[in-house]
Amino acid sequence: MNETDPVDGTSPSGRRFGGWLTAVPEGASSLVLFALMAMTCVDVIGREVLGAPLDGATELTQLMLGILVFAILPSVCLREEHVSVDLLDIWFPDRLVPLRQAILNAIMAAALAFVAWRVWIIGTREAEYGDATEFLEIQLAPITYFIAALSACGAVAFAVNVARYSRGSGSMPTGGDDQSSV
Amino acid sequence: MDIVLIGFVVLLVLVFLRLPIAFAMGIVGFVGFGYLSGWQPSLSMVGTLVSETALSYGLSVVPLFILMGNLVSRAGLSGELYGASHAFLGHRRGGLSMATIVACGGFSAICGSSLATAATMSKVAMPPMRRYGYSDSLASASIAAGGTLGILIPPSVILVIYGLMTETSIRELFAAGFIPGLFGIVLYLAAVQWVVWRRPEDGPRAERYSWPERFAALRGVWGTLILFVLVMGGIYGGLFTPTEAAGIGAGGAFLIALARGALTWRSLLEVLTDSARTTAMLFIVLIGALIFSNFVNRGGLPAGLLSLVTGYELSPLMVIVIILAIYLVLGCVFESLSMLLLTIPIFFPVVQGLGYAGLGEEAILVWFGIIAVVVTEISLITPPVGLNVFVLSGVLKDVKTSTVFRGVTPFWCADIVRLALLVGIPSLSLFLPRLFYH
Repeated sequence: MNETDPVDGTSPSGRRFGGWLTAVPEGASSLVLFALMAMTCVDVIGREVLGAPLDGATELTQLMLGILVFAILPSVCLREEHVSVDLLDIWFPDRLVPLRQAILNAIMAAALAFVAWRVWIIGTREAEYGDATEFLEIQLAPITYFIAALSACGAVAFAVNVARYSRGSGSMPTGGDDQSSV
Repeated sequence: MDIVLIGFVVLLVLVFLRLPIAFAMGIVGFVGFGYLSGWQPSLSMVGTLVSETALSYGLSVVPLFILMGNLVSRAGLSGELYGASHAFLGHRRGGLSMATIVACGGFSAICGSSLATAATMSKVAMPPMRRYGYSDSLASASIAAGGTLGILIPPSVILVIYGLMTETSIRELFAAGFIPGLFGIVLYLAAVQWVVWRRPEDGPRAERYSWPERFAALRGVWGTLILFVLVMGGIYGGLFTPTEAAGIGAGGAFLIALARGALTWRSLLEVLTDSARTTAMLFIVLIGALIFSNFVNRGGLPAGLLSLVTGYELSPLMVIVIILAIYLVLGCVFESLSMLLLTIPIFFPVVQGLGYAGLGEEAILVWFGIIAVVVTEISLITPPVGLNVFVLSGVLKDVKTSTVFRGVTPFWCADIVRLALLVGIPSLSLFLPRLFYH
């Protein structure tokens, strides 16, 4: 969707850092999505045709959903692909754009770091009580920790953007056309 | 209630300063909720909402439908759909435009996204319309308008989001969207007729196809048809949950794309990443909206609005008309998803208790979902920010936005007529859900 290089204009090390931060979980997210599709098909065909449903598919679906959404989060953050209203962009002075984006990214970094902290606390509680899914008895804490950790990575991605904009080397993402493709 | 209004103003300011809407809603919601109920509850609300939303089974329908839509777009089914409707309608005046509308309708029956529908169809429908000398305004407008069908005709990602926010049955919403969607196609066809009646040179006739040729063209659409029957039939018939249907649909679309040689490892990875990306964006926005929604409810805004409604002795119809007017105005400014997510938390409790047309609480939410989505469709082609129009002028570099907007006016009017009918006759939306599930 977004054709432009999201980390265009960064120093090589910054780009490598951003790339490493996002590429690995991005690949994982794609894999999990494909697996989710395959698993759902197997489950339905097994149940409707062969009379042998996949046990615990619902629980696996939930866990996979959490993984796939949060694994791609750092990449979405780094590319600034969050839905935003760009109506006033025409009137916004160009030279202030990097400053504005730096501030916005800092706000979002703080917000995601905060989310990571709160979710981590939930994870510790789940670990304490040994919360697990009902049927497959999969421990919930690791998944929750994963969500917290990837939210933190998202916060780092925003921080990378802040650094990029405040060095004045950042270009705005294309935005607009690829947002909210629903 | 004052604090909610202040919160809303702050939210709008943040949004216009270009803070992504998810973060604006989340931050305002968190601070507002904390102010009203104390910080500790607010802190735990955020954590719980994030971890619960991330692991919610109901939401797993979202990535799978998005994946299905992206695979279907990649598979190039749009060409066959257009070919078939061209064979049946092309010889009429304005026939290629009508074929475009019908093909868009067919495509949106397997793809839940308006932008994807408009972008995909523009590639197959624009060249023939140009070849036969259609005016740019009619040709591009029929694609932009036809594309809006994507979010109403099930499966529809927006309806899923609405269902999750209001805890309305997605099955019933999907059933409810079907007739209004068909209705939209019919009215758009009428709009095309009106245009070529006024200016016949805008849409000249193409050559007539013989019946054997028409049936030959139909052969290309069986894949689409099977996929739709499988997915929606499975949902309507209660065979699968919406998530399972979406999984089957995505699997089917994957096989179709594979069989047509439209997938390489690289493009498959691209489709998967794109789908995951869109899903994550939606989730973040949804979480923000849920946090904001908690604040709005805690602050008693819906109750306040309700007492306002009763205080002024507004009739239910009046309230609906006011809400729709607000939507139409917002639609000129906001992108569709943001608009829905901002307004649903505020409007749905008001609508729920309205007792409009003698509808019960559940029925009225289903009905309102359809109405809200139709208004959103309208916003997709309303100047100055109609998103479909921009997608089109992005794909068709040589067509100006103003040309599309000019051509789109008759379609916009058709949409308003449809909206009025859907508001006036709730059974249009509620007939199928009642038939299937009550």
